Amino acid sequence: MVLVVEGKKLCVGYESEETALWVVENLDIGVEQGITYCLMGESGCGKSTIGNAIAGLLPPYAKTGGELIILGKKVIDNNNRMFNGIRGKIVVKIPQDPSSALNPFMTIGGQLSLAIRNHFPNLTDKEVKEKTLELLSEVRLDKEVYDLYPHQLSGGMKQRAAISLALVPEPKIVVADEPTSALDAYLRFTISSLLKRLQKEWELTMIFITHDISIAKHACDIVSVIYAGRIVELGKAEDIFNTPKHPYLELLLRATPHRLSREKLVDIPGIPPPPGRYPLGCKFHPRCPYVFDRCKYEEPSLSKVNNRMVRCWRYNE
Amino acid sequence: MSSILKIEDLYVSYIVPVGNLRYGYKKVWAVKGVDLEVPQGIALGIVGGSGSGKSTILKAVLGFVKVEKGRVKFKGVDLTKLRSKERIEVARDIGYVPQEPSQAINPKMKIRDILVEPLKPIKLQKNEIEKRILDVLETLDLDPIVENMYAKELSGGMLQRIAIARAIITKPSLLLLDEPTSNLDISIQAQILNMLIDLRQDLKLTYLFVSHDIDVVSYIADRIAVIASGKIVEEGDAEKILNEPLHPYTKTLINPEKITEKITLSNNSACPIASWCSWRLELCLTTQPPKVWVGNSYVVCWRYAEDSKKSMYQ
Repeated sequence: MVLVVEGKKLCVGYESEETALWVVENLDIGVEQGITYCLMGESGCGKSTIGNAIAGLLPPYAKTGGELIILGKKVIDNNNRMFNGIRGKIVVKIPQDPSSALNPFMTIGGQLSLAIRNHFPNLTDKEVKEKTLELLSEVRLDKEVYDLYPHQLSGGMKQRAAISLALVPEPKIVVADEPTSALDAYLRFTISSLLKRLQKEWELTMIFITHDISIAKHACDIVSVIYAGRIVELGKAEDIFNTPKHPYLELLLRATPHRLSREKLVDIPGIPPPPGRYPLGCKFHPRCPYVFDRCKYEEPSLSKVNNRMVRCWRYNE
Repeated sequence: MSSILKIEDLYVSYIVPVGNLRYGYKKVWAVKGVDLEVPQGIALGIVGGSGSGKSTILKAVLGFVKVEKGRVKFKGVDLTKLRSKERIEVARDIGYVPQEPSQAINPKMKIRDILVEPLKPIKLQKNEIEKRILDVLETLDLDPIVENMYAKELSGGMLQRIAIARAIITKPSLLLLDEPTSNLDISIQAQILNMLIDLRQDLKLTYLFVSHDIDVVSYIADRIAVIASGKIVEEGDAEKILNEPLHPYTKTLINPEKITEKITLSNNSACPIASWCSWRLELCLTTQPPKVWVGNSYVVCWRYAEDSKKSMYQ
């Protein structure tokens, strides 16, 4: 399979008062073409930072290291970032909060046509309007939405409008940064099934960032679980959720309530470490019930266990 | 079992602008004829999508919104008829945990002052106040150091504990919880949920718990009420609702994986899901469905009403 996104020892950090604060360190990531690749983790684990690095949306004060290759083009080479021709054309991002992507003073139709005119300057007015309506029906929005302003739409409709806006340049890679977190439990599934369908029909490669296990299960093919800026477990969604190997994922699944089981939830003691305060050794060891001496001083590497990759000394002999 | 809170035929509306300002304003009904009974010592969970009016019910109990019609009886006293001074007396017996603790906690006040504030009208002795603060911090596994901290120095999970601490410091008998875990990470959510369950047993509290997440509600609630577009469509014991849901809307909530892309709720038809329900009858669009009781739970749906009518004649 062709790798569309390939990261080699990718590091992303932000400048702090004295030193650089590395959020993501030595990340090796490979996303195959035409799949939905999920980055799952709790807040502050660096999943959005990875997403922004791939979408080329890192702020100027961010520092990078290592390499990131998108469709054969090196876009991050140490601290140089070269996203011209990639950002907003080949890679697009669906934001967490759709209001931040929509202009409050323009109608949805107006915003879409403006974007279409920019990307396809040769189209006539009639063709632009046709394409706009086509995109609206693609995300299952009514024609009436063309003349509405963002404040007249509900949360789910706004998210649909933001998705249609992201599809304008006919991208190859879509980074969806928690597209469902602002919505309630059942609207989440309508948006995630919309993205699932679009991914198939448009042959997109989708990087799906979420903290919601049920959405990751529902929408994604490959799931990588991120903890403290590192991938701790990587594999097919059904494999890793049915038989979790890494203690973090195992505990996380046992800490998630499910409507059909009334088993007592497991408390994971402590909180996820914020960037800059990652512990020595395995990053999960202060909260891990299976901790032994080696975990405290030496960090395990991501190694292959059966049908997945796990970063844990218990499987890494 | 006696009921601690009884809501009868509650109607609440909001005034919202229509289109551009020049058209003026219109009334939108957020809660339309809700009946709810919360028995003493039980955790009742209200589940529904955003905009279904679930938080408005809590606000009506707290007196944050004007009750247009109906009664809210707390321990036999109708809260809607009380004057504000009398209401404050009663309100001490109702605790409230908001959805977003960081917005509900004054960033300029120390945690200690935040905890003392609800005790001020009771006029307690100084050492009694001290004792209550230490007690409440201990019950919630918080280090007494937090007393001298400010909200920004605490993590989201700790802030939520402070919000719960403030709600229980007056020793209320009813606790209203408005999505207390929806902004927390999964591992922190489990800590808070387990703590709420222990708290309820230790302090013999009654919970009215609101959430859009049926997983969370099912973990904590003994009884579940499902609300859609301001109307309760099904209410019953948690086990029964989760294992054998009757109303089509409850069924989709419990199996969200089967949701198709377009599921909308309507304010105009008599039954909120009439536009997409596969069981729809002509009646569903025009007439409000009746309550059909099955044991101690009920469902509001024409299909069951018609079926029970048929079986009566047979």
